[in-house]
Amino acid sequence: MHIPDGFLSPQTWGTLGLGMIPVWVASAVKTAKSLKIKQVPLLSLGAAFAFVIMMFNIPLPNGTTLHPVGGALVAIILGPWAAVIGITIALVIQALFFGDGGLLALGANCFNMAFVMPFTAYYVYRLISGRSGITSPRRWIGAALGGYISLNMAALLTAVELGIQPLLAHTADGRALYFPYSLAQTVPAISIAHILVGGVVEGIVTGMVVLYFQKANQPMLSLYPPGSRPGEAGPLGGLSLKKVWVAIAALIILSPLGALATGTAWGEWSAEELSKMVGYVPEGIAKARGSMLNVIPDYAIPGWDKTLFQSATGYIVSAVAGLALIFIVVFLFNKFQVKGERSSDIR
Amino acid sequence: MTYDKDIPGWLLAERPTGPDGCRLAGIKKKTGFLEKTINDIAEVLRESVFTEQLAGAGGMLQNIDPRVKLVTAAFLLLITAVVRHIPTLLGLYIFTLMLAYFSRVPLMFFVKRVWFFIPFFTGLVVLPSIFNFIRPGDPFINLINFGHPVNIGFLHFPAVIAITRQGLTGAGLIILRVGVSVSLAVLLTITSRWAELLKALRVFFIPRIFVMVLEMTYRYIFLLLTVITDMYTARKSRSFGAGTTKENRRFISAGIGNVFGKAYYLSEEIHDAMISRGYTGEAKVVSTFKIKAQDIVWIILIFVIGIFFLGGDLILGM
Repeated sequence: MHIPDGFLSPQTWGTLGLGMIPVWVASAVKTAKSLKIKQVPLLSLGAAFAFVIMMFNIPLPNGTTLHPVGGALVAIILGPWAAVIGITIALVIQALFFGDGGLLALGANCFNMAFVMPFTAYYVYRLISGRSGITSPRRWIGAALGGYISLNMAALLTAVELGIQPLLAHTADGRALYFPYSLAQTVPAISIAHILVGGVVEGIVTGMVVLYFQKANQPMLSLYPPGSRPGEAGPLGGLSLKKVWVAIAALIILSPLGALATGTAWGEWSAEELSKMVGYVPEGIAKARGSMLNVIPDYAIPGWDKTLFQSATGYIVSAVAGLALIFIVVFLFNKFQVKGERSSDIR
Repeated sequence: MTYDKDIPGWLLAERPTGPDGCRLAGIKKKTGFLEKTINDIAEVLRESVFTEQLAGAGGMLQNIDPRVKLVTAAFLLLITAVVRHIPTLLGLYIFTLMLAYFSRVPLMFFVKRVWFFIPFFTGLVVLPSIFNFIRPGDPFINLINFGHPVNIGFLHFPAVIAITRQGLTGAGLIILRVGVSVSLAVLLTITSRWAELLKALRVFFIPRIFVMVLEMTYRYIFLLLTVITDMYTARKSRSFGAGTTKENRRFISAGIGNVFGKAYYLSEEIHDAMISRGYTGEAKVVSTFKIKAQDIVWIILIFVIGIFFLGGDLILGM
């Protein structure tokens, strides 16, 4: 479910990344208020846990293993706002150091797994567990369903984000610039796997861990909302829904902006715009190519169209020259840097 | 594996972690979830040790200020995201190879690291899109000619099944784009100390509190990984055979719950320790970064090179 860079068009990851900013700000404010001075250590350990939970391999009947995402569990125990920060940080570390998910796609991945997933899981859990006591079976059933539904929500969003790519970005002749499949292809392909396997595993793990807490470590189940005792908190745990709605409203406002941006997406410019933007450059290149072809005599390779060959040579020669130039420049930089390094102190 | 000269060989040797991994009549038994988890964790630890070694190798990128490196990497990623021709992406890929070479990153390791994992998966995902019955387009190579459209249940196939030109270029584009993006990300992380890289995130106006949480998270991930390894090793040393699925599932969920509980109590203790050392809730990040002349030259260089690739991409589109 971690979307790598290159699958999404800039307008998609841009919109989702911008949309995550109010969510991050709200979660920082919320956790600062509720956790106060404990904020840093609790969120750090929560994030560390959200990272290591993916290390737990669950054996499947066919002999393979699958690991849980854990977003639902963190949300149910620490609350959805702390989960936003915890999972975001786990995703940052995964993207930076383990190549799980792209750096530019981080906003999109956070939207699916660090925002929609914990909130869905938490509200499903609260809805089902309600005012029930800490040992009530409604708690673990709520947690299991929360895990199942929230993972499927995140998977569905991933499928939709990937599926709209062919609509957003393709060339005139139908060449896909980013993810090539349509919604009708991505939604079934991704959703079915999660409805049948991924979601089930997530649900079972989340439910069973809550069951374990009911037996062995009950205080963990009354950590969030803070200061509450079982039975006191309302179905929504006294959480203001307002912030959630503000965030969702912001996203709704932002998404048409993303759609509008398609008109000016990279390379979608008209010919006039293009010539206005680059003006003289093509001329210079054309000239260079012309003189180059004067130097290189008429080669004829059987089966090769002459003009195609000429233009291809022009491109290849200028590309190789350009890359060679870059190599020399970087080489010189490296040399200069090594000299500078020797004379300066060790940092 | 010439690059891990500082890690003892017996640590690197791929060995089964227990009697379960033995070969039976030539058929390798699937390793159980216990071994798999222990091995996965060992892999994460090995990875981070190796990266720290490379980060200290003193190559070109290693000497650049982490903040500058982060910004220039983001700029190059952006260029990679917007260009739309295969030759441009190939050029960008060659450029990442040059950077790796000058940064003393073993090239074989670098290429393998990038192309074995993520783009392999991407390639599989993209493969069907080159056929005309998945995505319509101009035929490039005709595979099967039925002579008439074929309908199997709800599946409709055109008369001629072909690999399309659009499908091929589209697939090439996405595979290369993912490959270059991953190469840039890998270069960034293997030439920087992770702790420094996290600190450098502040250039993107990330609040101090997030950076502080990130740094602490990074530190405690290793502690929690050790806790899990101990737990699994203890379990493994006490068990015979594979155990029933139900038993295993209960062990895993109890394990997850146990680690979560431990993490929570640890956070309380860390909080107390922080208070007793004078923590007042104000986040402070110690940073010793200094921008040098070479960093400024590097920014200009990367900017010019980025524009070069963008320009080349535009010319290709003419």
